[in-house]
This record gives sequence, structure tokens and C-alpha cells, in this order.
Amino acid sequence: MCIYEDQIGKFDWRQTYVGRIKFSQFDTVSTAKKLIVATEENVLAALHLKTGQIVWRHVFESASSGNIQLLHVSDKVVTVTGSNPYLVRGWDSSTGVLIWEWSLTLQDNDHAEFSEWWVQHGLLVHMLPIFNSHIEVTMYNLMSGQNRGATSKLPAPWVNEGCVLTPPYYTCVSGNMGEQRLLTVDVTSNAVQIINKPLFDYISLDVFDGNMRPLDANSALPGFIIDEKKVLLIKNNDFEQLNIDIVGASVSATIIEGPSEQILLQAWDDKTMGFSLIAHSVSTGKEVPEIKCSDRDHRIPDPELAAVMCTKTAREQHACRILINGADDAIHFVQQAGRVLWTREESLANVVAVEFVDLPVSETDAAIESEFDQKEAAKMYSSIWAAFTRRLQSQFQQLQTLLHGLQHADRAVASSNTNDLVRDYFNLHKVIVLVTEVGKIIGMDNLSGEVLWRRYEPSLSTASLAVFTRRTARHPPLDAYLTIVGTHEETGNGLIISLNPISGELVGERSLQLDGRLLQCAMLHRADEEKLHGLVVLYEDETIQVFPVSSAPLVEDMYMYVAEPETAYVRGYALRYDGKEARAQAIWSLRLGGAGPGSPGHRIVHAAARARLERTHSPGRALADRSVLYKYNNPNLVLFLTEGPDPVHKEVVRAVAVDVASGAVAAAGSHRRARAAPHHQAVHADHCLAYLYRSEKHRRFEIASMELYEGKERWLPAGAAFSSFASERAPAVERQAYIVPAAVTAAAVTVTERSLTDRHVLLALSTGAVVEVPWAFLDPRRPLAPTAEQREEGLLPYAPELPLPADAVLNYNRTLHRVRALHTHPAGIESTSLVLATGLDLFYTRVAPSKTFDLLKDDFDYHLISIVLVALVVASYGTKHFASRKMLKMAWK
Amino acid sequence: MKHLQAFVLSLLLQFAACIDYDGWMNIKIQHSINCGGEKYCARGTISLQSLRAGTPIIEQMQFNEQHINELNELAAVNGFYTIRSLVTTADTKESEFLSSVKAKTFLDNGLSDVINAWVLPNGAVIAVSFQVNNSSQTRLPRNVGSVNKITSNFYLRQVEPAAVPDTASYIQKLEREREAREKGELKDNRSFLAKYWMYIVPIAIFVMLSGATNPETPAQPAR
Repeated sequence: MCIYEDQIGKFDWRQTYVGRIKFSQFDTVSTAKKLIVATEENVLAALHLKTGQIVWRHVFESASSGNIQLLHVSDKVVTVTGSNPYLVRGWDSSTGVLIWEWSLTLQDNDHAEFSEWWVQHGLLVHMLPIFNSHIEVTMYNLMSGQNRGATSKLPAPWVNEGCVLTPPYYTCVSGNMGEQRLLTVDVTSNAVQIINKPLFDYISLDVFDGNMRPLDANSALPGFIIDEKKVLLIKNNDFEQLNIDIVGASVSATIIEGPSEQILLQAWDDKTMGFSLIAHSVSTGKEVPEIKCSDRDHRIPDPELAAVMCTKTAREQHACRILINGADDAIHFVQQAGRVLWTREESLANVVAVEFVDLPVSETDAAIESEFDQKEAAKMYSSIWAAFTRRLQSQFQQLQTLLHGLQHADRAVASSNTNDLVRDYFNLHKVIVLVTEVGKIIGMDNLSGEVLWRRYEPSLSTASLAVFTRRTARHPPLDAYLTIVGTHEETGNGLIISLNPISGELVGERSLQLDGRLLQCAMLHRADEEKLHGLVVLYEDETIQVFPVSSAPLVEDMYMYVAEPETAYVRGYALRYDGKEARAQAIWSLRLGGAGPGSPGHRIVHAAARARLERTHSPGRALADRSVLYKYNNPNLVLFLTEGPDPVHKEVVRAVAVDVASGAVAAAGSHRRARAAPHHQAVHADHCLAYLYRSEKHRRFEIASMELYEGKERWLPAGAAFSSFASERAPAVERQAYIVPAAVTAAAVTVTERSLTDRHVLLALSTGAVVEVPWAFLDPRRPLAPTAEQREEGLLPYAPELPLPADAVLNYNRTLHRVRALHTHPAGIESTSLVLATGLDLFYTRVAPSKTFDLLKDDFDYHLISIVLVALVVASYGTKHFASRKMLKMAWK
Repeated sequence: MKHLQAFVLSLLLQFAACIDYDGWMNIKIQHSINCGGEKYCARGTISLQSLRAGTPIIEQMQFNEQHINELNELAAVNGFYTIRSLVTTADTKESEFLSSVKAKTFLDNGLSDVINAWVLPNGAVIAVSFQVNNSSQTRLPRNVGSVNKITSNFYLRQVEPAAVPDTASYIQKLEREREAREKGELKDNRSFLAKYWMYIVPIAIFVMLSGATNPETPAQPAR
């Protein structure tokens, strides 16, 4: 399970992320310049300026107590986190070490969420606007939290929700339509001075829709954009209108303190020109020629200036470093001329779906395969001669590629990796397609973790999502085909995105918005002539649609289930093609929360089905007395976990295993005084089920396991296919529960090509470890006092606590924060299963549950064995030679 | 049939142990064949006086020729015979459950089905499912025109409390082992050979080796 020190990073990689940037500032004080960022994921981190890598990182609580309210970088990094009570902390900017901390609780909890914070002259300013009434301002000593004076209240009945803060000024538009006035106040000054001007001195429009936003990226001058047209600055107790036009509505603008003058910087994404940047001098209004860019090939959706720093080079040129935050959560660090220094794909901190995709075979392999493809062979080579010439040709081709490879062996290493995207011998090399919460679809090389392609779909809402590999790359010359089914952000209707997972290009249906809301979607079992599996979607009005339409006749023996999480109502449909179109018929329904309105509040937390690639290797389990305990192998079984209140036992978790084709319940159990785990934590493989829950009685995590058996006799003759509609017998259920001595955040089970290998359960812990637990430890048949027979069978004696040894940690010392899901996929060799952990970080590795029995050891000494082999050959010929000479001599005697 | 009865009995015994609530239950069974325009019409009722006792009273109609013909039509297209159950219990209003069996298997099995009703510990029903057993036993050929009786086996099944980590008996086991250790060595009931083979084998080998080499040494010098 564990690896040697020199194997670190050999088959695994970890990528660390921080999430979508909320605040960012340059740290210009310390010697090694850094970017300090605070994010929506409640992470405070320092990024290296040259590479963009994380120098240090603090991951706060993911609940609201970890929300970052303020980031201020001076000689120290200051953060305000939480939501009443707040924690004010100072961090050393070079090491990230906590220096001081004090807490603050506001009396007025109702309005606390409108709090504004900033740092001014070494004091922490807290401002609380009470709408239509007044503003409360309190200042604290930054280091100690001592209150400088009592809270001052500024009477301001003109304060409303649309006000903007440009520290220390607080600006509002107030008054009736048509005679609105622009009011602003410096909330920190001792003498209250309100600037009050008619709004229409600044904008010529008759109608003002209240659109006002402050300048981005810690603007050097307090100012705001009004009506997306004009920039107003607050200077010398008056508003000053800049005579520079704002380029468009979605422009991000800021004023920076340049080396000689103040510069207004604007960034936007132009439809035709791509990412654009422009700068003007604030005082003269002239364009700054060096800071300008429009890059047609570089697109950043809704760019936002996050942090800007400008210096002057020796030749009196501006040298700027600009951090840009896109709507797709990617951050780009660009130079003044638009050259991108580095990019961080922060959307990967929120992965919602993962699919492993096989790579296509190389061209020469494809040629060989097509040669031996029987159908094609029968078509093409009617005579022996044709086959012979074909054979010679392909062998010549192979020779050519070999020679070519030898010639360019040195160059091939440096060549682009798109050529290398071919299947390797063990099929360990795959493309991982990740769908992220913002709607960004990313293709990643699983061996290096490098992003191969990315595609941003702003209209894709990822709340419920399904990914299907509808055609693998196994069918050259046809390309692989992957479909993502989600909902449209605005209409809530279904949205289908089909793409080639190797290149990221849209194919087939491309991006297709459906006409209705979806209930369920599935892939057809049978492929059409182009080896493409049809996609079936079920609309809310119980009609179905098949993509492509030509696949509709293939809808046969299809079953779907629809589970409503909030009501725990599950129903099943049978799909059938009636000669004209495919139809859905509701055939069963269940109420997992209990019938009627009498038991409300029960909801489905998770539905765990078998992995699509899972196979069943053996129909039974051999017992010590040489008899077989036959498994209940129902491929349609789904485990539903529900959670809800109970009048007697406070809260209960129920696990119900349902055959989703016929709607029959196979097994059920309820846990009293328990709550379901927050994430999806149930695994289901073969006849084994396991799920995690939190025991409220003992305040600990427990894992319950179930195994379903037919018994010592088979229900069906060997080799007969299981049918959900022809089995009325309920399986025997073995159950057991174990204590997990840790908090578990995600669970998965290993999958291998043919399921010959042992099955291990992977548990991601809140400590940042991913632990591998053999199923033998979770086996519900573990006896308390094993008999000799049970010992012979290999059952471990029962122990209530699940051992989590340190050497079972897959990610050794690489801590993974907030692992939300574990994904497994089989490799081409039987022993190995590929694992990807997603969460704030990404971690990829491979596991061999039964050791790598089909692979040579990693440090296998090829040289020694070839030397030994050569030496043996030489020795045998040498001795033969000497032996013949001896014989000759003997004969002469 | 006998083992089925035994099965029912064992199930009943289980309930008595783990149901925290008792009450009556009434299931109206409706099906979708020969309804004359309506979507569903009555097939029969199942009523239970007590969930704890679990003895059902099943009353079902007999199928006539029209029913059989419609079933045959469904079977011809491999269709489903859908049954709707309306469950009323002491404190829940009527709630609806759907279930289906393949019309063909239902006919092949001589109109016999198995009804499973799953009940929560608080008396609420989560599922009423109809299934047809796949017994290949050939029934008597059905002569058209005669009355066709539906045979249903009803099982009331309980959502049992799931297993919990069994710490108490594990601790007891540890205690017992500790006590046994304190009392003296665990009684070893292996045979003499099994216990001391590691001493016997080397001695035997030594004896064999010395016995084998000694007589041959004088025989060697001939060559």
C-alpha cells in the first residue's frame, strides 16, 4: 500500500488550489514579492509572482465562520474572518505564520451582515450602515483590538442598499426619480461633512437606474463608475468627473498609482478583439501607449482587474503586473502588453463531475487492428495474395515508424504532447474530463496533470449533472464522444453539451438547449452502427427524446428511475420503442420517507448504484467446507440513503436497497439517532454495499456494510442472465457496522478491469489523508470468535473499530484539503485502479489492491538480468567449445 | 408451500420483536385491465387487523375471459400488467404505490404473484411491490372460459434496525481472553506431534543423516 521515498511523484501528483479570488493584493514590502489572495473558498494564500505557485496557504473553515471579510496587506497581512463573531488576525507575509489574533463580537447581530471593514492609518474601521437611518462607525487598534473611541453614529437617512463604499467615503444616490441627489460622506473624519450634489450634474440621462459601482482592485483614488459611463472621483470634498470615457458596460476599471502619475486602467473582453486593456493618464486624459493590448486569441470571460502594480523601467517605460480574474474562475497574471506570465485554473477547486476517457490507439496500431478486423478482412481480402501484400505493407509501415522513431528519439521528447495522446500498452494513460461548478469543462492528462483543453460554458448550471462517454476511442477512425447533460442557467431547461474528450472540440449535438426540464437521462445499452450509444432524456411531462433520433429503435428493455430528494419519492419508468417513437411508462413508485403526509422531512441524501464499468467476476464465495455461498448479483440494485426526523429516535438514517427496474425492495435498515454524512458517502460494488453515517448518540462516524447473498443454492442455472422481473425472492442480508475513528468526507471503492483483484474502500478523511481499507475489514461476516472453518476461509475476527494505519494513507504526507469526492477508474492491467481525489486540491494516484501481480517491480534490474542471460549463453557456448576440444584430445590418446 | 409458511412464520416472529407501533392497515389493489374506460379498477383488498400479528385477509376477484384476453394482448407486446395499491393505515391517509409485473410471466405462472409490503418501525409503508416468481413448473393448461383465480402470497416486511458496532461483546471477549491468560496458559488441546514438531523434525533429520553417512564411509575408499 505504501510507497518508497524514491517513488514519490512517480505515479501521483497533487495540484493545490485556492478557489475563486475574492480579494488580492501585492505584497511589495517583503523581499520576495508575492501576491496575497483571499478567496471565496475561505482560503488565504500567497502566490509566487514568477510561477503562480502557492508559497503558503491557510484553509479556514468552510462554514460562514471562515468567510474572509477583509484582506489588507501592509508590512503584515491582516484578515477579518467569520460572521459575528469576527476574528481579526495578522499574518507574517513571508512565511504565513500567525502573529496576532483578537476577536470581535457585534451587539447588533441583525445588521451584522452589512458590515464593511477597512484599515486606515493603522486602525481597523468597521462601518455598519443602518438603511434609511444612520451609519455606525467604530475604530479599533489593529494589533490589540482596543477601541479608540466609542462607536460614532452619523445620522444619514439617505442610506440605502445601492450605496457604494470607496474607503473612507460612503456614497449613495437618494431622492425621488428625476431629482436624485448624489451624497457622500467621509465616515472616518471627525467633522462630518456631507457632499451633496444633484446627480444630473454628472449624467445627462433623464432616467437613472441606480447603477453605481466602485472601482476595482484597491483603487488608488476613491472613485466609482456611475451608469456604466462616467468615472467620478471624490477629491477635495467634491466630486470630480474624469474626462475619460468608459469603454463599455462590462468594463473593469481601476486607478493605479503609477511611477509618475495616476493611471486609469480598463480591461474588458471584446467580442471580436478578445481580451483588451487600455490605460489613460488621470491628470491629462491621454492614453498611455505602453499599456495596451488586444489579443484575439486570448479570451477571458468578464475580466476583472484584481490587483495591479506598475513600476518604471530604466528606459522610462511602464512595467505593469496585472492580475485578472475571469468569470470562469481562472486567474491570469499579465504584463502591460498583454503577455500572460501564468494562469491558474481556480475553477478546479470546485469539481462537480469527473470522467476518465480512454485514449485512441496510435495510427500504426489502428492499421494493424483494422487488418485483423474480421468484417473488414472478409470484405477486402478475398484472395490470399491481397492479404499477403497487405501484411507486407503494414510490416513495412511498422519498420518505417520504428526507424523514424529512432531518428527523432531525442526530438520526440520535446515535441508537443498532442501527438503523445495515444493509448499506452497498459492503458494507464487517459484523459480526465472534469466539469467544474462555474461551467468550465477541462480535459486533463492523467499522467502529468497538465490541462490539455478547456471550454467555458457560462450557460451550464452544474447543480445536477451527468456525464456519459457515448463512444470510446476504441473505434478508429471514429473519435471518442462525450456528452454532458446539465441544466440551462437561466431557463432551467435541459442542456446537452457533446464534445470530443481528447481534443475538447464540440461534436454531434454540440451545445444544445432542450425545450423542457429534465427528470432523468441515461445512455442506451446498445450502440448504433457508428458505435455511438444513444442518449435518452426524460422530460418532466414524462415524454422521452432520444439523441440521435436514429437510435430510437434501439430503446428496448430500458428502465429509468427518478428520485425526488426532498420528498423521498422514487418512481420507475419502463422505456420502449413502439414502432414509431420511444415512450416511457411509469411502472412503479415508492415512498422511502414513509407513506402520506404524516412523515415529512425525510429526504434522500444519496443514491449509490454500481459503477458502470463494474463487472462481476465470480458468482459466489467459497466457504471452508468447499460449498459455495452464492452472491445476489442484481445489476439493477441501487442503495438509497435517506435522512429525516423521527418522533421516537430524534433522527434516523435509513438505507434501502431497491431494484430500480422492478421497484422491489431487496433490503432495508434504519439507524436510530443518526445523521447522514454531508457528502455522498456510500459505495456499492458487486453484492457489497457500505455507507457512512454519523451516530448522534455516540458522536462518531460509523460505517455500515451489507452483503447480499442468494444462499447456498443458486436461484438461476449457471450462466443465466439475471432478470429483475422474474425473481420474487428476497436475498439474505449480512449486516455489520464499524466505528471509523476519523471524520470521513468522501468514500469510493476501487474498480479494476475484470474485478479479479481485491476490492478496497477508499476513505478521504478530514485530516487530509486518503486511506485505503481492504473490504475484508468491512466484511459483515467477520465473526466475533472465529471457528477453525471461518479462519480457514480467511475471515478476520470482529473488531468494532476500523483500523486506519498510517501506511494505508495513499497521499503519504501530501495533505488534501476538503476532499469532496473520490473517483476510481480501471486501468488496462487487472491489478491497478486509477484514483482521483477532488476537493480544494486535486490528487491523482494509482492503487493496486492485490499488489502489482501482473507488473514487474518498479525497480526491476533489467541490466542485471540481461547480463546474466548473456553470460549464460556465452558460458554454454564456451563450455561446448572446451568440451569438444577435450573430446578430441581424448580421442587422440 | 410448506417452507413458505415457515418463512412467513419466521417473519412474523421478527415483527413481534422490532415493531414499536401497532395498528391496522388496509390495502386496496387496483389494476389496469378490463376497466372499461377507467384507468384503474378494483382487483381486491388486503386488510390487516394488526401489523404486529401480521395475518392478512386477502380478498381478490376472479379473472374472467376478458381479463385473460387483455393480459394476453399485453403479453404479446411484452408489456406490463400495472397494479396500483392504495394503502390506508391507522394514522396516514390513503397513499398510492405503483408496481408492475410482466404480463407474460404473470400468465405463465398461473396468475400467482407475491406481494411485499415494507413497513417502517413507525407503521408507515414505504413500498408495496408485486413480483412474479420464475418457477418453471408447468401449470395446467388454461382452458378458456373457466374461472381464473389469482393466488397471491402477501408478506409484511419490516425495515429492521440496522446493525450497530458491537463494542460490548468485543470487550467481553477481550475480558474473557484476559481472564483465561491470568488463570494460566490457554488450554492447548493440540496433539503431541502438532505441538512439538519443531523439535522432533530436526532431531529426526539429524538421526537420519548420521545413520546414513556412517555405514557408507568405509565403503568409499575403493575408488
